[in-house]
Amino acid sequence: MVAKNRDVALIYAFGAILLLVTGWIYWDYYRPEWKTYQSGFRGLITGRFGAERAQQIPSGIQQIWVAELNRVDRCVTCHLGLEWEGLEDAPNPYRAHPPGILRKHPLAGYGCTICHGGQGFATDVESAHATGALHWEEPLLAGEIGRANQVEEPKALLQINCNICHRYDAQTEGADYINYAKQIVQEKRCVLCHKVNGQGSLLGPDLTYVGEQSPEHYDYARVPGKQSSIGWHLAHFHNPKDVAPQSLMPNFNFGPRETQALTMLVMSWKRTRLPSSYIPPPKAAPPPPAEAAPAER
Amino acid sequence: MAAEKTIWKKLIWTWKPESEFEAGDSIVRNLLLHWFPSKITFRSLSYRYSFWLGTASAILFGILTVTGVVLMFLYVPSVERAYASIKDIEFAVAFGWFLRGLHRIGAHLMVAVVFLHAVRVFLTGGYKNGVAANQNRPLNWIIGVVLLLSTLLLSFTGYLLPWDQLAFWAITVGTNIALAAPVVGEQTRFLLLGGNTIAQGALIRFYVLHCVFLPMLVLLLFAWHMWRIRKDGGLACADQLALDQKQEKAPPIKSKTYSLLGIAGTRTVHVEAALVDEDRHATPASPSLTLRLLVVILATVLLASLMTIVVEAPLEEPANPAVTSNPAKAPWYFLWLQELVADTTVRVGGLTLNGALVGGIIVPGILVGLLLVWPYLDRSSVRSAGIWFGSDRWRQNIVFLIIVLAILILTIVGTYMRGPYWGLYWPWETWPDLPRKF
Ligand code: HEC
Ligand code: HEC
Ligand code: HEC
Ligand code: HEC
Ligand code: HEM
Repeated sequence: MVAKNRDVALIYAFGAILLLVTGWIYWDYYRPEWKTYQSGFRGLITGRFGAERAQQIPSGIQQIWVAELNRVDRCVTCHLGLEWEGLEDAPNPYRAHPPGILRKHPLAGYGCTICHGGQGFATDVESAHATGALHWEEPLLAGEIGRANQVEEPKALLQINCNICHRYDAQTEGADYINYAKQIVQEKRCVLCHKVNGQGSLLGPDLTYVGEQSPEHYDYARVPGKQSSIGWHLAHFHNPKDVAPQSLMPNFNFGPRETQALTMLVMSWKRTRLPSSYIPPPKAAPPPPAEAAPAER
Repeated sequence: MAAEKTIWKKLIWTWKPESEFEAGDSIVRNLLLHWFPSKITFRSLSYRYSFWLGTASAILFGILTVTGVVLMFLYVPSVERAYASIKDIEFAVAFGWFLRGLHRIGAHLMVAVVFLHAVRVFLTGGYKNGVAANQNRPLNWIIGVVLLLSTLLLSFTGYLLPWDQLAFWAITVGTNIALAAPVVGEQTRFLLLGGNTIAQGALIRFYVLHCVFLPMLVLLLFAWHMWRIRKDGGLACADQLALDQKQEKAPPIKSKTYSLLGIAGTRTVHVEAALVDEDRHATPASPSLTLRLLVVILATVLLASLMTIVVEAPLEEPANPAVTSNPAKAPWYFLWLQELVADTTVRVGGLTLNGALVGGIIVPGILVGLLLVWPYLDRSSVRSAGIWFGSDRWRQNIVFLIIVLAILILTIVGTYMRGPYWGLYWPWETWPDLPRKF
């Protein structure tokens, strides 16, 4: 009888705790991080444009699904003001998007991560921007990652992604670092030692897809900054013999702007599986030899 | 009795047992509970004998079935969609993180609890026959061993499904061990993977095994396991009571006639039971067993839920055959094997001892073989059946415990102390940061 009463007491106790746990899970469901940003945005719009405009703001998880790119980007759950006029000076995540770039790349057809990096699936800042030690290879290419790697101009890093599509442009408007790097590759005649797109010599490694190289491929023993592929390239372009003492690659005495530009360029040299409609049409002017489209294209 | 109480009872119950006999009857006649005995000994009911680990295994299996069926509505078993669908479950599906977490934690817990249950059964000599007729506990032990292997396979097949780096490389390590098997190694791996690489063929195979065949197998084996327990006259500890009684030279037991009468009536299920003085040692299953069962169910669900909240379910980068995750580890319950493989790969002069063969095939093969035949090799007396650390089983218990301890230590070393490049790190040492792209 005693045991029976104890069991009944345990059942009530465990039942009560389970009820609390269920309650907590439910309560937690109603307070995701993005909700604070959505109500913040509503407050901002009410303040600037009145309550009526604020009514039009969607609520709940928002996403841009681009079937052709096999991407779903939920960034717009928080970044709600991208296409609003009059929010050019608003703080992030509410700031209006620079409009020029979106004319040729409409958000509905491109999403966000194809240019910015980050984890489109995610609905919290840490996972979405993926700048910490998360299991996500492509962090948001912006201030934080740039500062961690001590690059000259953090904001420009995003141009790496421009060049994944615009690789065979001689010049791409709006990607000044990449354009600069392409110019250096021409002037310094890297193809004397490197093969790129099937052309050049094999004194140094083939660089056609060097951007895919696994970070563990590099030796970081002599790299001063962050242990990352771009950290290695930055140091290597600064002076190849600093990181690879036996290297035949000459020291070109590049400054910080040049090292960042070249690092960004080589990081963008990757294989891509994009639908042909996402590859910019070739320009009238013939592309330079090192960057000529490979035969199979 | 207050009026409202009567009304309440009228609404809820059509009938209430008036006697112990009817209480037992209510169990036997119930669709869900009919496989329980009508009366159960206090010993079988106690926490200290079984720790209710077998029951907890069954409850975890139930949790996994429920959460798994819901996950099946959300998960897409294709190489292109699998990873994304798990990400969606984590980020966009209402309560998806909890659903996935509970399924994952439930699976880990089930492996652990089934293992502990087997350890309990061994240490109590629960696989030994007692005094009642038609017992065959060794057979039930063998069913148990197959259940253990099925549970491991069930968990292993599920491990691949998220299609992330963790999954991909764990299955790579796991299935490569099969390669070391002589003669049939390559074919076994080919059969398991539906090809030579881990790709769509492997994913769909693992999916179907994980969601259909293995759960059905476990369910069938579980039913057989429970049926055997009834045919064996309940748990082995009950046999000790009968033996005690014989020594006491107690007068013929009333319940004996009671049970015989049952042949014609409602107590047929009891006939093959070890005959103990039920008045002294047993209690009606309703409500004692049903209440205890509810306690164990709630405790298991509670533990699993709390662990789900505390422990985050991992999801790494999408599977990439070109980039080996570092360190590449098998699921934790196979890490003792991986550790064994690593430790038994030795080079003596020009001779290389193949670790995968020793650690991956021979050692586990011998262990499983021994497990299967052990009840037939164990010659201890019937007095050691159903008793913790029975006095004439101390030698085998010690050897068994040493093996269990070795497995646990290797598992812990493999899980917590193996860092990048399979280097050995103390728990207080931090692993070196692996370089990243950015
Ligand atoms: C949970 C809300 C949330 C989500 C989801 C989110 N962001 Fe943000 N984002 C913020 C906030 C808050 C800031 C401003 C503070 C900061 O920089 O961290 C910000 C800032 C930014 C910035 C400016 C960073 C800088 O360094 O100047 C960019 C670019 C950006 N987000 C892009 C994205 C992209 C791309 C995604 C989708 C992969 C995304 N965000 C998803 C909340 C979010
Ligand atoms: C075609 C490429 C492209 C796409 C697609 C794109 N952006 Fe941008 N975005 C840019 C460029 C270029 C800038 C300007 C960067 C600068 O200021 O240097 C920018 C700027 C921003 C900023 C302001 C950063 C700051 O410094 O304040 C945010 C926030 C942002 N984008 C978010 C998004 C989100 C969210 C999406 C998806 C809905 C998106 N972008 C889609 C190219 C793109
Ligand atoms: C997913 C591939 C993709 C990415 C990433 C991308 N673009 Fe484009 N871009 C295109 C395509 C395709 C066109 C041609 C669109 C058209 O002509 O309608 C284009 C057109 C342009 C144009 C118009 C001039 C021209 O050459 O046709 C500019 C300028 C441009 N992109 C700059 C950028 C910049 C800057 C970025 C990075 C912030 C970027 N693009 C990222 C695919 C991309
Ligand atoms: C005299 C020959 C030579 C020239 C000119 C040269 N390189 Fe190199 N490069 C090498 C050699 C040799 C290596 C391999 C050793 C090392 O890592 O430094 C190398 C390595 C590299 C790597 C690292 C590849 C990897 O993943 O391991 C990059 C990137 C690179 N070079 C880019 C360039 C660029 C961009 C230029 C033009 C500005 C250039 N190189 C000019 C010889 C050369
Ligand atoms: C899915 C896995 C399993 C389930 C659901 C399960 C379930 C059960 C249950 C409910 C019991 C009653 C006693 C108790 O709760 O402990 C039991 C007893 C028993 N189990 Fe299991 N079991 C499983 C696996 C195993 C394994 C792996 C073994 C041995 C290798 C085993 C051998 C036995 C034996 C011999 C008994 C009788 C013990 C005794 O009489 O004391 N079972 N099992």
